[in-house]
Amino acid sequence: MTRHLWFLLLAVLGVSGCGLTANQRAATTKFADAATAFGDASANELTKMRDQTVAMNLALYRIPDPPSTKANPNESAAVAYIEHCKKVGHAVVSAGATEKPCEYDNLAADFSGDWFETFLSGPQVMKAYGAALSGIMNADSKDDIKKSSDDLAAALQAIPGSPAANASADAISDLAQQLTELILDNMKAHAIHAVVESTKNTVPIICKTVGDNFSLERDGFAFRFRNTAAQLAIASGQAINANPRDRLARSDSLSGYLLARQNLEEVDTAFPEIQKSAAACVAANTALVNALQNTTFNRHDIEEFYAAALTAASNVGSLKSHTSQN
Amino acid sequence: MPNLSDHDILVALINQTWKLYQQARNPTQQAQLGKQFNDLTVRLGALADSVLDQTQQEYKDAVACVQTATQTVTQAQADEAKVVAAIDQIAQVISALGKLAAMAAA
Repeated sequence: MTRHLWFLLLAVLGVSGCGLTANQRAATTKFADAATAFGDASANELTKMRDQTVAMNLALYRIPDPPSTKANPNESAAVAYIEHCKKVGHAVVSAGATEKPCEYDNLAADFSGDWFETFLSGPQVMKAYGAALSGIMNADSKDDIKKSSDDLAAALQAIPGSPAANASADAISDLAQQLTELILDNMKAHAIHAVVESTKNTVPIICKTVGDNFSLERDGFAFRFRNTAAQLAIASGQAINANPRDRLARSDSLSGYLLARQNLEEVDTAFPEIQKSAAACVAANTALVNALQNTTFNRHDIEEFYAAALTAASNVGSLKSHTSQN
Repeated sequence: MPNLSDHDILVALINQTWKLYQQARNPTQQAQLGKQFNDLTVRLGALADSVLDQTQQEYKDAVACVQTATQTVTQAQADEAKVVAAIDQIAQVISALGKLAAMAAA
């Protein structure tokens, strides 16, 4: 019996060497948090951007054109937009059930197109990936493991003539718990090593592409969104000045102007944060990849390993004394 | 000098015009800059989409890869629960064997 227990102890110590180190656990948690935060913020912002673009296109359509532009329809964004709708054969605002309304079909940067849907799925999968990694890192099955180990100890003790019959049930249960937890740590480490290896080059593609699309220095979703807001601000500002006596025109123009200002503020405040979040996600991914490549155990890991070995030895010692009394 | 595409030039011009429009205080100047801004954005809209098919494909592949990784992590967490459940089953088998042994001894 004692020989078997020492074999078990060796197995425990062997398995414990295959789990994640403290640095690796910290890097995984940090990446999971960064991926979740980035995915959540950018997905929300993209959805908001799409909805606000619809609203701004409608506002652009409602505001009256400045008198000077009426001779040349191309001078007004709203009129150019209506002309485009006529050209492509769509209704401008009201459309039948089967026909796509033009204000949705002709959004800046094509927010309604296939590319937008694909693009939006990037932040969504990053959020899900981060949440899954957080879930596995924070999973607490200690209570379940204890119950199973207690049941196992009780079952072993109930066998007539079993060498464990007079052993401490707590010691058997503790040893089973320790072994199970170490096996689970090992499984977790294998899963994390495998997924990070497969995503180490693809995570930066998503984060960088999304981050770039929140930059105003290139032609992307944010740039076109900002342009729509700017067009609305310009057109509504001009319309307010041009229609001082027309209450309805003033009201529509003012609503359009306020909507444009609100969205321009969002561009200035939220978009740089998304870019920072994308960069943080790439950095956390690099740190995680590096941490997983470095399996050197630090002082904290050795202390944990030593504590686990001492507990296991104490449990084996306790079982040994009980079985020899028997 | 870096090679600038029509897109790059238009993006830079639009940004510059918007900056100047925000700084302008004279209504005539504002009107001119506003018109210029609209013209430039209309011209940008007329250009083909700047996002290349290749970039889109690379992005789609990256999304699919992260999706698979997420499923792997979720599966690994489910497997952990299976390990705990397996110990329960072993305990039940041992318990049943113990009862049989006790009956045989009696």
